[in-house]
Amino acid sequence: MRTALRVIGITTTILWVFVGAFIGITVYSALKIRIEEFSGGGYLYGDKFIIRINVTIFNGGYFDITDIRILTRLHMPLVGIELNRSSTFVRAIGAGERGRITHGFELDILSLLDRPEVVRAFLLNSTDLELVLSFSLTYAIVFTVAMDVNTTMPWKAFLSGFTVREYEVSPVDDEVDLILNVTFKNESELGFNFWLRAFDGSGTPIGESSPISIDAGDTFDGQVVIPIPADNWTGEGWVSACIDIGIGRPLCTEVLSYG
Amino acid sequence: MADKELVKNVAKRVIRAAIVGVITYITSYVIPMMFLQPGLGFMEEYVEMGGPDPRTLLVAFASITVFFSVAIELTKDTILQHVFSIGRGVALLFFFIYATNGGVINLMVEVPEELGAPTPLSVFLTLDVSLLLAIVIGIDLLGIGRSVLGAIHFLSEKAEEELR
Repeated sequence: MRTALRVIGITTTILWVFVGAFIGITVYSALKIRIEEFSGGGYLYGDKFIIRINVTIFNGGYFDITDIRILTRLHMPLVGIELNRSSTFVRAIGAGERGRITHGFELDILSLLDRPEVVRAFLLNSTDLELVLSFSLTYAIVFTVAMDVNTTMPWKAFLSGFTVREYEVSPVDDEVDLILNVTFKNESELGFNFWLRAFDGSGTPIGESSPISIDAGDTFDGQVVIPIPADNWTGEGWVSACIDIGIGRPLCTEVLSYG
Repeated sequence: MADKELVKNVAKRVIRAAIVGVITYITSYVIPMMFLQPGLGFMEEYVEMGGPDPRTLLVAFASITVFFSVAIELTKDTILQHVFSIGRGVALLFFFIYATNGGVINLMVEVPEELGAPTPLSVFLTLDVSLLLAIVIGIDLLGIGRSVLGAIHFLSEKAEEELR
């Protein structure tokens, strides 16, 4: 019994020394990891906005860095919409090796504009967009480190504070004028053409106003008239606000239900 | 004569316990503090811990180890030595679980603008040390098991002596 106790005691001591030494070496080793290059940039390619981040890591420690994951998410908290999610995975950067990680973040503008809730939020709401960068890795097999960085960027809406103060229906000869008194501010840094489009209750377009040119930073406060052929007038439906910013298709969102 | 022996024995135990206590205090608090001091200043200013702060943890760790080392030394060659030994193992077991927040340590670091951040940035760090915690718990349980066996051995030897 005495010998067994002594053996267990020695074993326990040796194991504690191993664990202590392992933690010490791991910390020392981790301090020898260097980020040698961190570069990146964003550019517009066709209808995609692309951000590329290049990181070169020199693992000067004694242990491998494994399961490196980079995840970026662009998110609009106001309406709870995730605009984009991109991820990159690198299996390992061995001890004493140099690893280059390229993370791409592609925002496909046209596919975003296929989502009516996104178009509506972009047109009407000046709000903060949240960019979340998540980075995780495993070091020395037993340590998993995850890092989340949150940053916000302001989005300035094209039709910020869009309000239809009042509307009236005025029959003129063989057509009906739908007259809307609207106000909004273009908080974006782009100018655009703006018009209103009327639909009947079944969703068929029945009339459109003349385009109005709006400059960057302009506030619009006035009447917009939508002439509708009397034959098409059903008395109920909705009105969409549309803008053209030169991307090949107008951006429209519903702003009023009438009737 | 017997009283003199007792006083001598107690004095010897107290001196030995004091020496062990000082050595444990130096190894479990003074030396780690020397290494951690530069980092602790930064942590207190910019890092928000999900659990207890490192300085409090170090004080707690040193208190546990010093208290039990002194108690074990004072009660050497009695059953209480083994009781305190088991107590130390159990206390350290709970301490490790508490200190590592169950194996997942959460930190929030405010990156100051002086370090090159374009705007004040909040970095959330999660350190998963559950595998290491499992290893530490395993070794600690081995130590507790050894102390239990030591207590059984001590009692059985005592019983044998009484039978003789």
